[in-house]
Amino acid sequence: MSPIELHVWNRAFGLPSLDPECLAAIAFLSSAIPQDLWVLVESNNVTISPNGSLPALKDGSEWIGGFDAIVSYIYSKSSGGSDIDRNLSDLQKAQALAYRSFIRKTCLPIVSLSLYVTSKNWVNVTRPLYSTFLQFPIQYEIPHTHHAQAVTLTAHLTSLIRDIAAEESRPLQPVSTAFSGITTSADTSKPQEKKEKITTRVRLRNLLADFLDPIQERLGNNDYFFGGTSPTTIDCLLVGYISLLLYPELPSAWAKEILQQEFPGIVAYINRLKPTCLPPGIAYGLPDESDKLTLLNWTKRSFENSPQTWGFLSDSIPLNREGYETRSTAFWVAVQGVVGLAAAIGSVLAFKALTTEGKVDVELKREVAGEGVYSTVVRGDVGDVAETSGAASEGSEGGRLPIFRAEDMLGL
Amino acid sequence: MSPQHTIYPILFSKPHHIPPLGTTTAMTSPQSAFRAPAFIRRLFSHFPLIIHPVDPPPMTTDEFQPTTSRDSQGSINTLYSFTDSTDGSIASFNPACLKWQTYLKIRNIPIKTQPSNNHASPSGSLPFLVISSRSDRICQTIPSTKMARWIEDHATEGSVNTVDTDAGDYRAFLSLVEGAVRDAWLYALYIDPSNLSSLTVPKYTSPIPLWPIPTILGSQMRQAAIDAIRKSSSSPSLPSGTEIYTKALEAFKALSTLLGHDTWFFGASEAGIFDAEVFAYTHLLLNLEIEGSGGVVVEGLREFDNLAGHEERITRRWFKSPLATFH
Repeated sequence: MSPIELHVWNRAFGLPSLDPECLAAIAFLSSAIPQDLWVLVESNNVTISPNGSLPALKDGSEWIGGFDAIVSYIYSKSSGGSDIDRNLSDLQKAQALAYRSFIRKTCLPIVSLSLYVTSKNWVNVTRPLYSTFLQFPIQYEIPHTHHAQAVTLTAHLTSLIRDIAAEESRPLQPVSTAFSGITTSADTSKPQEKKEKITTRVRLRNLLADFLDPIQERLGNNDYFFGGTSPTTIDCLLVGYISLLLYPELPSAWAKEILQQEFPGIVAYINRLKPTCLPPGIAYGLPDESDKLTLLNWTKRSFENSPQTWGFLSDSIPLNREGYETRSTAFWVAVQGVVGLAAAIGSVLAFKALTTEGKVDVELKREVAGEGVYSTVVRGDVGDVAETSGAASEGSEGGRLPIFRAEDMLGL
Repeated sequence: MSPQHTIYPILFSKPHHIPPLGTTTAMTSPQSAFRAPAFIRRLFSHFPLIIHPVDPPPMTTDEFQPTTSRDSQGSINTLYSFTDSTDGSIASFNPACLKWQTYLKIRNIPIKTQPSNNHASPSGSLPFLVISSRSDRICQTIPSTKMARWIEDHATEGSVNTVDTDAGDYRAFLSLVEGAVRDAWLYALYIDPSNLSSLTVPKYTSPIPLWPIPTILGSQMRQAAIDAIRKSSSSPSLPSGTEIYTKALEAFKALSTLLGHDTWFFGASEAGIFDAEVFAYTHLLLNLEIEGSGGVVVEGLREFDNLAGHEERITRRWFKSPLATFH
């Protein structure tokens, strides 16, 4: 039996993936099933996943998309044997579900802010990172999409983002020595700058505390989130999210600094979990030919999504997954219908035009052919052309009409 | 400055410049060299149309009392919300409004409700509370974001906040209600076409039932619901309706486990904000006649007896019969 494949986004920052949900899935598989039963595949290809996002699990011919679905699939496959939450009480399971949504809701904007929206980090680290593993045209689309998504996720933090940006741009402001005597503002603004820096830092700290205080409170002195002796799914999720705040080396490392200064308990907890949950010796596999992110299937996906992206189809959420495909198919069938209709009308018009103007055409051709300038192909019967070349417009076939030449325009 | 607010025609800046009709003797002043035609004079003789009452002099410092020392007993609290009635004990049909309505009732603050819409709100969203008391003339407006704080300051003796809103568990379960449960609510009421046309659009557009407006507002609300679901899902792709319902039922299962055999959430002795939060969704899901795909989540919710019982407890104690609300 071939091992299960876990398809994720590429490794980055010394971690096995750049995406928190993918890291959580890696942590889950590492703690739930033996190392030799699964391999990690960096396919970076979202089209393979049934829910359109990574992580995705491939078991033979079956595909499972998303962390939650992967967790329940592994439970049912092993009939509860690899249920890492089996020691939890019912209430704790209910809490686990609630904390899952809490972690995603509060931590994802922080991760997005740190890696994507803080412009210094995005320009210097995260954006170049995508170019290292994506090929030419794709490396412009995917990071752009991820960045746009991060911006929408952090839309409620606009003023904070502005403050971070202002702080970053300050050292870049040109302070010309020639005007140093005239502009004394450099000295007077310093205390204010410092104050601003402190308030930004305090606000960032509050943002992190908003997420980490409940976690810290729950964690107490335990080794794991729900106590016990082994990690649960919540531990996996926390490792996935917090390690992206803690481990990347970033030019604007506010997340890391605040974590280390203010939340030593959380840092110790993640450091303790990392060797078990994100072990260094994960077996890597190569994606199958059909699962690879190639230019071909990337173009196919962009093409299929184009009705939505260009606003031809209004947004909608169908009841079932299949609804998305039928909707798109229906659109393309409609487009084909319209194109077909246009072609039919075009060919009828072309036929009419050619059969009535045929005489003039032939005369014209004879006239110009004598000069030997135009027309290399001589066709006698114009009716033939119209019948065989259906939708082709009347003039283009075989250059029967005077061919436009750029030289003629030069007046030589 | 005249204390009276009067409406004068633009031609004449002051009332004594209007020559009385029929008098032709005012030829001495240079202004009267020009005489308006009779019909214009007749027209302007009707002005001022209205004379407003005299403005009161500005409030003196003696009258001013800081908000905290103000007597809240004599005041009338009006909750502007999406509702059909001015009776505070008839439930709103919007979960956010119903949550605050319920919590105000739980904390024993008498309110009446006022049917309203987003355009009326200073913050752009409902509900908001307007406090006007007979003793002072200033109306205070409290948007929903500051309502919890206001309730803490003004709740009557004997009512206490039973939920620690900083506690991890509260915030985790709150995110579950605001995530999975809200998504299912949005999908069932705004995206499912049968409920959108039969329930949501008539309810929200009842003040303006003119033809194109409900249709336009309906499609705008639908788009807003899709955007809200997109924002709340952690993955960049949209989930499908069935997935949303499955998640909501999982969330209700977790809430049911959390409630257990207790009367109120988190084992409190008296209802709190989280009870209002859950009630806002369970009450509406169980009592609105939701058709179409939403039936799945309603049926699923009915199976959790303790959640249904919790909903019934709150309805019986603080609200009038649910049937009166929706018929």
